[in-house]
Amino acid sequence: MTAHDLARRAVACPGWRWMPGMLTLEHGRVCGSGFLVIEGTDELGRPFVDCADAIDHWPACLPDFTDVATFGALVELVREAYEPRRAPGACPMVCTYQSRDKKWGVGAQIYVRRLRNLQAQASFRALVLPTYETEAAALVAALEAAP
Amino acid sequence: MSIEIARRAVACKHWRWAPGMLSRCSTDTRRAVYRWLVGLDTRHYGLVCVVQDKHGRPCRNVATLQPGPDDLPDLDDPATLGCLLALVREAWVDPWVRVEPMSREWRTLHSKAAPFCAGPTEAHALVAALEAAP
Repeated sequence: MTAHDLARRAVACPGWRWMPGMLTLEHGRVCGSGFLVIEGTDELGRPFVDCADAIDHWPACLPDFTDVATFGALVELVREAYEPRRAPGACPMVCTYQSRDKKWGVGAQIYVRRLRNLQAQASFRALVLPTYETEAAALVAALEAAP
Repeated sequence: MSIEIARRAVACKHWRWAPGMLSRCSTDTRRAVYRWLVGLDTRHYGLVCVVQDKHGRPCRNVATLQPGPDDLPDLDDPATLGCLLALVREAWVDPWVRVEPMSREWRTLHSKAAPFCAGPTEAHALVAALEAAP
């Protein structure tokens, strides 16, 4: 699967939205309240940035999940999808994990309250089985499968 | 997130500003799009896009600034946390480093699934791992 295919699957999810810090495959970075900032180099090779329109005005843009900031924002989208009632500032429980053969999955820590023992016990539950070569692929699959 | 944990992060020898990180300082709020210059001029200049003022109003200014001593990463920001995880992986030369919630804390794990750092939040566990990196 190419980076474009994975990105198209992500933006098609109901839980998808552009978040500040994300990079597009067209080298634009989403900043602040949604402005797209284009990164590039001038004719002398010097880096520059230029402020473009809001990301909403660029419907063809796709996210670049090889970018670490975009990856971090994707993790947050998956957490929001699975933990819609998480209080602001509360610790999220969803994270990526690996199998022994280094495939990526997505799981969550859940608390199970036992009948005989009123104290809640933490256990880890897989949301997406570890069958993916990359973390981003596992997270996109989790976003697609979100309730 | 406390300022103290952000200060610990920037004090690490493996710390560097990365594109997509959100920096906050006492005067304004800005999303940093840093590009480090290479060549003869090795000053730590980066390209910073100031898109919001401290009141959250969009201002769409693009400026070339130098990260100052008051600039601290916003470790509540998901994109900044993603960059911090990448810094930890780079520092430990281990692309499989990850963080997981375990009981009441977060732990940083090596590729062999051995926990090596912990903290009350994901950011604390990552900063502890960055500090402990050789």
